[in-house]
Amino acid sequence: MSYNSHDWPELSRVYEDLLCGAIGLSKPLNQHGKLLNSLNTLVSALSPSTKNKGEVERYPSKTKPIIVQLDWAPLSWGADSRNRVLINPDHVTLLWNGIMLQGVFGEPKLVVELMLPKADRKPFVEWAKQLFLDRQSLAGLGLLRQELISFLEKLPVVDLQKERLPNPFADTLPQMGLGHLNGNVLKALATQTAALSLGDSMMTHYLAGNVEKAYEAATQVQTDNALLLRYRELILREYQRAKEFDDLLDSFR
Amino acid sequence: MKYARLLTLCILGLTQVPTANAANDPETLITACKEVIDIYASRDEQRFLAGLTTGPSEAWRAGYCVGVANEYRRHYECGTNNWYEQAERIAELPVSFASRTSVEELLEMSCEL
Repeated sequence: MSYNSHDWPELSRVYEDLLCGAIGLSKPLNQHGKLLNSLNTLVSALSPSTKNKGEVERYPSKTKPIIVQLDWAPLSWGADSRNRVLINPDHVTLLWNGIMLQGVFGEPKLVVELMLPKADRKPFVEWAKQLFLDRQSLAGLGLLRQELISFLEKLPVVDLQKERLPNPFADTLPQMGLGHLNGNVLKALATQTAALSLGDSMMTHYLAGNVEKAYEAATQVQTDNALLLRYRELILREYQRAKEFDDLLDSFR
Repeated sequence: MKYARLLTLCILGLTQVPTANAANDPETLITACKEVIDIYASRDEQRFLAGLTTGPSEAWRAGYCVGVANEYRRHYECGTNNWYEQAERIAELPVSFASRTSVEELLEMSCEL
């Protein structure tokens, strides 16, 4: 840590700056319970932590990648105390970008993957482009076309710690549990896009992180669509790798 | 005379093994064994989950724990013949315990009946 974490701003204040200040949600923030819930889920994925039994204070995880640095300190003594959560000010931009990615991609796990230092963000961007930009109307999804284009263009190349991605959402963040799509825009879109319907279940399973189901679907997909073929190959390869690892683990036990 | 002493010092310096090696650090071992337990937990939670969520460095660390535990049993008596049980015992310790112990002590402890 480059300097004393006691000087760090409080996470709740940063939430308010980002969500009320930059995005324009109405104050106070705690009236947006659902949004805060999904935000907390996102943040615990970006900043994995552990605590010892019976203690309140949390410690950064030693084994999982930390994307956003937080600091926890109990507000008072006793087992039912809560933590005051501070955030490294250098990581506020990362948090913003995490929120935007969560809005578009809808899954903390995916967001973490996209934000890892060596992440290959291109495949996801390509898939999102196919799904989003071939559509006549994005307005129904609460997305702004121009901002979304620049969001997806920047995503593969941007330094997520230094530059804020543009906000592609028209008003609030419907994808974070506020709107009718209930979480995953990509999933919702995939089931709506006729041209890609062939690969629907393969891709929805894949994007939902279910490799086994995606694999089953992939073995049955017959298509000339170049994009789907590419994903099919990716899924088959990933399945093979995961299966090998399982077998290896079992053979050791 | 002075020169000879300097030479001896130099040779000594060259043959010295670096002590701050991660592979001989109790903290590394505790973390590594926690990793093993985590990986097998996700293996048992859902098929394919382990392969998808385990990164190369995590797998490497886990392998280190298994290897060290197995190797210890090849040389010393052990209350179990199961590396997983050894790993479990080491993984139970908080990482902060590392400053008060050594790799040898941890392994010895992992073998206690």
